[in-house]
Amino acid sequence: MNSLLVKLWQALVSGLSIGSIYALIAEGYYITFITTGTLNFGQGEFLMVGALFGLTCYVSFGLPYAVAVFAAVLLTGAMGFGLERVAIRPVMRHALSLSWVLSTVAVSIILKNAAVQLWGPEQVKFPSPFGESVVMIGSAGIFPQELFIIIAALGTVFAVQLLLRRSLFGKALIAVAFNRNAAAVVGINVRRVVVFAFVLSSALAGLGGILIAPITFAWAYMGTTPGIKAFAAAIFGGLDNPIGILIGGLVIGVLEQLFGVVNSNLKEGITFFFILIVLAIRPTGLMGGREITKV
Amino acid sequence: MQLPIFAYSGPKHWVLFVLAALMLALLPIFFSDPFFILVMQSLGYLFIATLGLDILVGWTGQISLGHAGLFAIGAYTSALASTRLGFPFWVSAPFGVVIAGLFGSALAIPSLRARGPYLAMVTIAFGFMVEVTSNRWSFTGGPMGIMSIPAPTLPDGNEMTPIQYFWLIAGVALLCQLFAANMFRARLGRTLLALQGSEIAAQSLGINVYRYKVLAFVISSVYAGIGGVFFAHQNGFINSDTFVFSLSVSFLTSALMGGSGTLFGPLVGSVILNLIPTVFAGLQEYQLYIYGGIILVTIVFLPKGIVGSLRQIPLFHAWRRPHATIASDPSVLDFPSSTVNEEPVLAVHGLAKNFGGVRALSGVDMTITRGSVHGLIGPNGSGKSTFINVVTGVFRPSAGKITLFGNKELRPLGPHHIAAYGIIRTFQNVHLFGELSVIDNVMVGFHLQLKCGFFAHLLQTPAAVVEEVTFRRKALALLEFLSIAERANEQAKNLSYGQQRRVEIARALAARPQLLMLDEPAAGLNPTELHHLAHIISDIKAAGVTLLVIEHHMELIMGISDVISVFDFGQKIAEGSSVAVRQNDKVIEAYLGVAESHGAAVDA
Repeated sequence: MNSLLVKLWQALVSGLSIGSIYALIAEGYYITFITTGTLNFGQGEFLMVGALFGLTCYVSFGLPYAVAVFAAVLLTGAMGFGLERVAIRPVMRHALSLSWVLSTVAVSIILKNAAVQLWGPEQVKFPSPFGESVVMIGSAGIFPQELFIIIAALGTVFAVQLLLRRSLFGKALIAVAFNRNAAAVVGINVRRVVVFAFVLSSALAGLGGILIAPITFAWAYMGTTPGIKAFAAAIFGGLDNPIGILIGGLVIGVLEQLFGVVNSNLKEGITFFFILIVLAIRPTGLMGGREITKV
Repeated sequence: MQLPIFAYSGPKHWVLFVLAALMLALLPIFFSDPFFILVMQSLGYLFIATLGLDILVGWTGQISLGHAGLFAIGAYTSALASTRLGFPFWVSAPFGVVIAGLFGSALAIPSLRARGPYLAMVTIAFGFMVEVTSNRWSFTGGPMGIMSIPAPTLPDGNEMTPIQYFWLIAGVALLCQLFAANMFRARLGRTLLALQGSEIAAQSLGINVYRYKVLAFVISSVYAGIGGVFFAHQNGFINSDTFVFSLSVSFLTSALMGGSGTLFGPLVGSVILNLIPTVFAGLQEYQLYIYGGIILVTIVFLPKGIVGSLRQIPLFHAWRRPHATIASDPSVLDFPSSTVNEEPVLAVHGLAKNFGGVRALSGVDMTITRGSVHGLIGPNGSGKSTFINVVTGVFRPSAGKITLFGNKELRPLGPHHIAAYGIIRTFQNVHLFGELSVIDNVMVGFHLQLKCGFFAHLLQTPAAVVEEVTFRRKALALLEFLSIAERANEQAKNLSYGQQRRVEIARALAARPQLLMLDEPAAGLNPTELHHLAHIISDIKAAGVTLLVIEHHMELIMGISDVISVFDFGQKIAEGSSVAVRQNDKVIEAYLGVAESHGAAVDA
């Protein structure tokens, strides 16, 4: 009985740490979705690049962890700039509303191939800067990296919200989200805001990658599942609601780990089952804005 | 007037398919290399699945990133039925297809209301659930999958040779294409494209949107299931590694690359995309670069896909010859409501509608006499359009009673039920089905009168062909009635605003209205068109249709209306002849305002 309680307690902490990564990536979906109506389906591969590049900086180059984090964020941010140029801007004028789904998936496929060539197809251990020993909290053993993830990821989510609501550029982004044409009329450079949204979104994924790598493994195929789960988190909360997305990420992370305690076979499927139920009841997520039909 | 018709299955259509069949039959005789046959088999079933996905993407505008899941369900069901239950291929295969169709109808439920990324999530989640379940469940063989799936047998008990199996797949693929073409060119394709254009307008013509969306999902799933079944029995072994997200992506890419919503797009797309691994087999390391690069290049530079882009080349236009011409059939202009019945067409009592705290309508009583033109005016935001929306079932009334024909109390039903009573409307901001031709827009208006159903059109029975021609002639007559027939074969979205308004009226008339409600028909018309509109309205009245007209153009509304009701702030403030309404103090107050009470003192 007591051991089950310990397991649940551990699952809760792991769930919160994975969930905050989902939330971090999903906030990236939110930022580009509100500004352009599109999002990067290859967000998971940006996470993977963040992890592997961070690993190279941290282990191969022996740079401090903080510098590695900074480098990974910088690289993925720059990749976001390229993504907007290559896969978003050219298809925005297309009538077909789902072109961006495939163009971003195409970029992610190319990134995966590049990662296999650069880093090989094997899983690599990413040593945690906080060591591999467990900290006992109550009777449960917790990795310090897990606690660091929760603090760093949630801190970033809040910092981004602060940036959006307080800074001039953040306000410009919100203005574009609210009404693109009106924003352009009052002198906001919409194109620059869109580029910024993709840079920020991609950088968040890169940060997620280097944060999560020490508790999983770093390898070319690590991104797909967290990318999709984060998408589920964003959909669960409602793509246009940052609070809903945060809750969605944490709920999905915890739900997964708790079901993992009961039966490891249920762990992988539960998120998707859950999201199907949510969408059947509320087609724009639990906290998403409802569509009002105007005739 | 004679109108050429293009999209029809006629003798030419059949000749093409016989030729294709002949070619496919002869192919393995000339090229009998076993690897070639294997590749051709794979192309066959991948094509079928892609075609199925395109029915969803191209026709309904929905996206699916979970078709690998439906493909997997077909494959697993047939594999399990033949290995565990010992069913022969000829039983297990249809079984697999049916189960895939059932899953498709279940998948349709969360997909009905979800849009864009939310819909993508529904399908992604479904795909992952199938993958994870088949990987973890012992019944489906877990990660090991299912082995020794038998090949199909011939009646003499021998297993089919690879060439025979190719013939089977090719034959089924050909039938799938033929059926898709039949569906696409007739009622189903038209209806689905209409839904894509405007769900609300489709409903207002009596189309049950949910039913058609579910139908599209089921057809799409059946096709995916067929593909999966063929895959399982070709390979003899399946496990969850095949049915991953990237397979769904490749189906979607094939469909878009070929040209989604075109007849031959799925064929072209699936052949090209699925040949890449074979063609670039030597460049194993760069395979994903090539694959990703091709997706990106096609999406960016060929947004309409290969076939869609080719179609825009004038050379291919010249190639398109009309199959036949039709003459108009003016019998359609005899409306049923000319039968004598003195009861009011519509009577509402105490009708109210609140949006949160806003009372858009409150306590409205109104009666619309049969055969009259009833004008409805009022300042902006006075509740006129809300009135139409409540009567046609777009909104549920908050209170009040709606009675049709003096005896039928209207319950808050879906808009498509109300259309069936002959209550038909147009929209303030025109809702045409932009991708359809003008005449096809009108054809959608006939929805409730068409008798031939899904299977009749699938098989192109003589009855179905005759019905199409019959109603096309009627549609042409309606377009002539509205003086727009010369543009019948153009895409509706290419017409001017005034022309679009006329098409919308023609489409509404096709639905044989007892009561036709026009919501600001004069908005955006030039003086000539305005004059024409007044004539159209009186012609429609003369044909025996009762009209309710919302309009801001006073000259028009005063000229055509028998009775005018005036709304202000959700209430009816006046009603009567145009003269009486014009002199009504409350109406003058609503439109022009009134001098404040101390104003009189200043004057004095």
